[in-house]
Amino acid sequence: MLEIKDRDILKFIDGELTKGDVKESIDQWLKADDENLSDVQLMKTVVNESAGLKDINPVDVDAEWAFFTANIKNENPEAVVSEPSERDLLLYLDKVLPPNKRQGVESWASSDIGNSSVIADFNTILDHAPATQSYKLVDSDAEWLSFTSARDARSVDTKIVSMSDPVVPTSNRAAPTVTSSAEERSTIIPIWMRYASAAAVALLCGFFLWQNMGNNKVTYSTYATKFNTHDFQMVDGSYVTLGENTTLKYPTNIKGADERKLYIDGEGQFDVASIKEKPFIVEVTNEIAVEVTGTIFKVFRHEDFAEAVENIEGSVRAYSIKNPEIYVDMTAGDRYGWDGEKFIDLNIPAEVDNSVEYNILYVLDYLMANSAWRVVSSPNMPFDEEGVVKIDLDQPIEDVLSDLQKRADFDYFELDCDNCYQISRFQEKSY
Amino acid sequence: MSNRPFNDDNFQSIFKTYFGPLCNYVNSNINDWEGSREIVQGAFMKIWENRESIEVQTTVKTYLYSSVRNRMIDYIRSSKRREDLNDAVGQEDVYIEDEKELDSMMIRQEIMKSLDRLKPKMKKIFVLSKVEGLTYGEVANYLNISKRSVEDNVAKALVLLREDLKKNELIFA
Repeated sequence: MLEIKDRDILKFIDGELTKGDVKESIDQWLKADDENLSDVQLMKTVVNESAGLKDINPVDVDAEWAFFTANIKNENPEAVVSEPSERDLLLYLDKVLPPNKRQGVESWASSDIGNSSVIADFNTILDHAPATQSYKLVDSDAEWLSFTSARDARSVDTKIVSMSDPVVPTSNRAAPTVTSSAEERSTIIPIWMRYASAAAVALLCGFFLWQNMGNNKVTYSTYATKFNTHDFQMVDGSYVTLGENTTLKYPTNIKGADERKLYIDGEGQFDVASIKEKPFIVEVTNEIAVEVTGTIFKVFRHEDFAEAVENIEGSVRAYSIKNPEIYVDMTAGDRYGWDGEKFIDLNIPAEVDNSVEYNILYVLDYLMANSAWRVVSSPNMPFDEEGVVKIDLDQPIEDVLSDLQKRADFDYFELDCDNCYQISRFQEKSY
Repeated sequence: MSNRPFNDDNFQSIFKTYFGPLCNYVNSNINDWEGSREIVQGAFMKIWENRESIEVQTTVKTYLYSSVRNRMIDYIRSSKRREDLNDAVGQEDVYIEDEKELDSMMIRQEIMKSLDRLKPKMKKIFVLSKVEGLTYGEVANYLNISKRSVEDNVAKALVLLREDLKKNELIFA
């Protein structure tokens, strides 16, 4: 038997050996041992299966393992996906977050429906924020009041209309026994009673007219600005310019209203159309009012005063609502602030108050030291060492002493030398 | 929800919730604030007078929107502003868009209210940046603070605004 080589076996498996010595040697070798036959059959299987390898994609097992473990981690996102900072979220929405962080935010957003809704809500706010500039914020309380006023007025109208219905019940009017001609009635009802009835009806009508006039409620419009100013013309021809963050309430039909009365909280300039019989009154918060017939003035915020008025043209009167006797007549250029009790002329610089609160003991020491001990105090004067006094120490000594007397009861008298004083009987005033 | 949703108890609340957005919605179509107020108030008056008999098959918001829209059309017709009418009610799909516009008005209203609840500085930074459209750098220069501070403030404001708006079920469910 010839020596059998591997390539001969391969040729045998492939069917290329059909005869010859080599073929006979292989046949003898296979018959000699079942194990040889088994090996060749296995090799034949491998060769046949290898033919299909070209249709199989090679698999990177390491990559597959990494993918598998990543999937396991995704089932528990808290372990991997960390919540982005508020700033990173903002920059993500602004589309300026670096790509590496951006991926992190997107993973966080997709890991939970609650997270994705955060992104959606933020986008909603950012999408609508610019449009708030043109949105007019309404004072819903004032509008509700305006609505209820109009509603009640309509209710009164309805009641008046119902008064025109027959007062006598229909059943009575329809009753044949009551029906009678005018002539018959005139004979039945005495003349004095007819006049009395007519007078009563007239009085009743007058009463309803008077009451209705009394209930003639004005419907108001409210205009509020936020970040913007606003110009408009009212139906009486007056021009209004509202400043930022201002609310103005005014009669919707200001021309037909009994009085032109407006309410402002904030800043506004008014170019008032002149209607002599109807003064134009602007109430500033609930403190002061400005009254004119025709002029230009403005209400503004002042750093020291909640209510301040400047007259630009013509003349106006500003007065306290609680006490109208406190007023100021303003000409063009005048500016006044309201300190809660009186009007302060803003065109006159306020006096500088140099006074400071000092400890009384300190004031006494100061007086003594700065008068070169010409001011002295009597021994054993009682005083509270923690007591304070508001005083301007830059004044002449006598003025300081005079001021000090407002806080304490004492006498001082001049000594023989110039600017020499002695304080005696020092006793704090009790408040 | 009851299909007769208007009553003495809830009318004031409904009025205060929707009056502002409805006025702004109408005003965006007719550009007349006083006219807008009259239209919306008229719609509410009509609803008040018929509150016991009005049956609503959809939602209060949709019903209010429809009522106000119909009055707006009447107003435009009576004003003979045909061009505006065509713009406002030209096509059916505009109807859908309009109701979204009402939603948008409600969101704007809530944002403005919420802004007032922020600290003044934070509010100012947010408004300059996201309402008035300045860049973070421009806001930083204007207020003489760092750009990082601007970003932090806007980010925080955004979180607070969302928290505030979330309280209103009509805005964010």
